[in-house]
Amino acid sequence: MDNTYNIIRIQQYLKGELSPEEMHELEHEALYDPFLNDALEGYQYKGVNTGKLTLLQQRLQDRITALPEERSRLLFTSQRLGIAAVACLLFILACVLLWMINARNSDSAQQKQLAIELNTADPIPYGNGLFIARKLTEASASPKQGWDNFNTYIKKTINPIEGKNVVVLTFDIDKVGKPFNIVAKKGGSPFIREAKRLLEAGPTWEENKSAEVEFVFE
Amino acid sequence: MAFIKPIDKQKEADLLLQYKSTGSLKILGMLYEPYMPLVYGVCLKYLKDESESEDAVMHIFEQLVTKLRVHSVVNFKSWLYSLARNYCLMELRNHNKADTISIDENSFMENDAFLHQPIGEDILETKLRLMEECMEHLNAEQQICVRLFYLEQKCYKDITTITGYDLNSVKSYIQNGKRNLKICMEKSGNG
Repeated sequence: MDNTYNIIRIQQYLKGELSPEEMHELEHEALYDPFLNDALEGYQYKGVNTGKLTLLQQRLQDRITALPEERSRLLFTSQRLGIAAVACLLFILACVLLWMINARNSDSAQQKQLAIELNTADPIPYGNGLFIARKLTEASASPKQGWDNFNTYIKKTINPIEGKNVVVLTFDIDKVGKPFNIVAKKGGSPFIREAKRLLEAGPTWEENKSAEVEFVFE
Repeated sequence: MAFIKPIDKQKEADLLLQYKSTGSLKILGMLYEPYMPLVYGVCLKYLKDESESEDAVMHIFEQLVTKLRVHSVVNFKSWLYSLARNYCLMELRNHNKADTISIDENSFMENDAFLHQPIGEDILETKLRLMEECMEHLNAEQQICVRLFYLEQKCYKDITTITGYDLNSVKSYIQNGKRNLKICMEKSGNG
């Protein structure tokens, strides 16, 4: 560029390396060019330091290229923002899916728990709830075919008795599973008799050697 | 003739327009870079400190970034000179260094319009005669220095050798002589 040449010319002028004609030419120019005149006076004061000028040019170039970098950095940031947004969305979706799966699982778990309760804990009233036979203690023996079948059996074979009553019977189980040593702990006598009859004519028992069973007549 | 011919005037005007519309720093850099040594020199003159001047060169560029988008600049070089000079003077004022600086120092500067006024052949002779007359009105020192500089095209150094005046005096005799000559010729020309 010309400015290199120009600054060299100023340098040469200040060092007295130009011919008188060239010096006159430069002085003449400076006389009509206040910019050049001031610059010449400045360099007269400090001397021409081309190293500093090169550094200045470098600074200018850095400044010029600084903005596009900033732009690209901004662009990159917006890209990253986009990626982050998508990641967030995916994360939320995954969370929702997990939650849904969990909810379903816990539903079925609850159902399972319910089923377990039905199987192991007190049997629900059978049919319209007229007859209920259930064990009163955890250690009690249970009918071999299960409480449901036992209640079905009761329903089929019961001799209806008028009135309401709750009978509690305790009994032992023999080797083949038949109840014996039946003792009534609670209940009216016709109901106890009927309950005993049902027990004696009923299915075999298992799980334990003794039982405590409640019969609800309604 | 002009000392700095980094890019021709037309190209410079195009770049100015381009920068105004695009705000591209690359274009502004192309405009500014050729003048950077001059700006640095001007800053050295006023601030008298290299690192301050370096910073000033960059600060002036920052001012260009905003100002050139707003102002319509016809003559970039002289506009830039004013900007740089004002920046330095403001800096000095902020540093309370301004005491030693005379703002009128450069009042001798002519504008391009007068200097490059085309002179027709028929009036050239009248002008020359007028100039000779006006030369007589200058004081002795100014007369000698102006003659040596303009008519004999001597450099300052040679003039100091011939006259024995010191360099700064020679400069100021030429500058003042030139100004007085101009005033005289304008007066006589109009009268």
